[in-house]
Amino acid sequence: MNKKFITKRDSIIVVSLIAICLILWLLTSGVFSKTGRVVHIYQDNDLIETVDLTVNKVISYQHLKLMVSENGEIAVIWADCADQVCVKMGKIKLIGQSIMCLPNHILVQVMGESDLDIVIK
Amino acid sequence: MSNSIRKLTIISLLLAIAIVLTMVENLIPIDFGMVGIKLGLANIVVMFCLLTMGARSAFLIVLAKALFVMFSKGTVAFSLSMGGGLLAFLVMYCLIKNDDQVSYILISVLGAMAFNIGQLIMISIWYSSLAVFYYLPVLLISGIVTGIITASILSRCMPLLRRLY
Repeated sequence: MNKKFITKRDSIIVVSLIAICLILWLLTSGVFSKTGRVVHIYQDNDLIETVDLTVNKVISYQHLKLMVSENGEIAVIWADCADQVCVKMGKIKLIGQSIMCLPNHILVQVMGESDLDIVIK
Repeated sequence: MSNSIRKLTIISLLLAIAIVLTMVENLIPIDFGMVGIKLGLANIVVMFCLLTMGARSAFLIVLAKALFVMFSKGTVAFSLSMGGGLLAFLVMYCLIKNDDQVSYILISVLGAMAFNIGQLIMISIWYSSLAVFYYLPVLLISGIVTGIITASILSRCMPLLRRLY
């Protein structure tokens, strides 16, 4: 049971894992994804509100406050939970990005174009 | 008989170390503005246990640590600890069992990645939504980095820890 810290084979595996993950990360993180227009807010897996990202405003709920800022970004600015993870996650604006609040079971997710835009097209 | 008492004592000791390491790493202010990016120091203990004392003892530590999390932080944190811990345990166990040549770094890196995937699976179950998998690449990269760190700590500590068991 004497193992080495690293072997040649394992270093190749680890390096290729890093490469694969970096590529995955590039693919998902903004380089190719567009900014979203609307945000869906779910509580207990039910859609409770759809927020337009083009209008600046502050949205207040019982457990948290959200703010939409100029460049179509949305962030949680206040939460009543202890860990404050959702506040630390900062601003999001790209399609697919989301902010989660596990204690309050709320999910904020940036979506693509709104249904209205699709109808107009 | 005395041998099994000795084993039980060491497992309890390792569990205590795992819990303390988790508390210590919570004190380290690494903040990437991201959920789930942690050093995973407790994984060192699980790896040590898996390598020296066998799968049963390691499984016991994963389970007991998750239970401790449940009592101190609640059921959501428990499910995350359990999902991550179990998947990491399975991956590391299969790796050690099927590959004699495997090095610390590969066990640790794949274990850390599995832990993060397991946690994401649990979160997506809580939300019944796959939205969280958006963070998978970042979490995997962080898993690789923290895996390398924990592997180097383990390989340094191994000669000392071997005196324990």
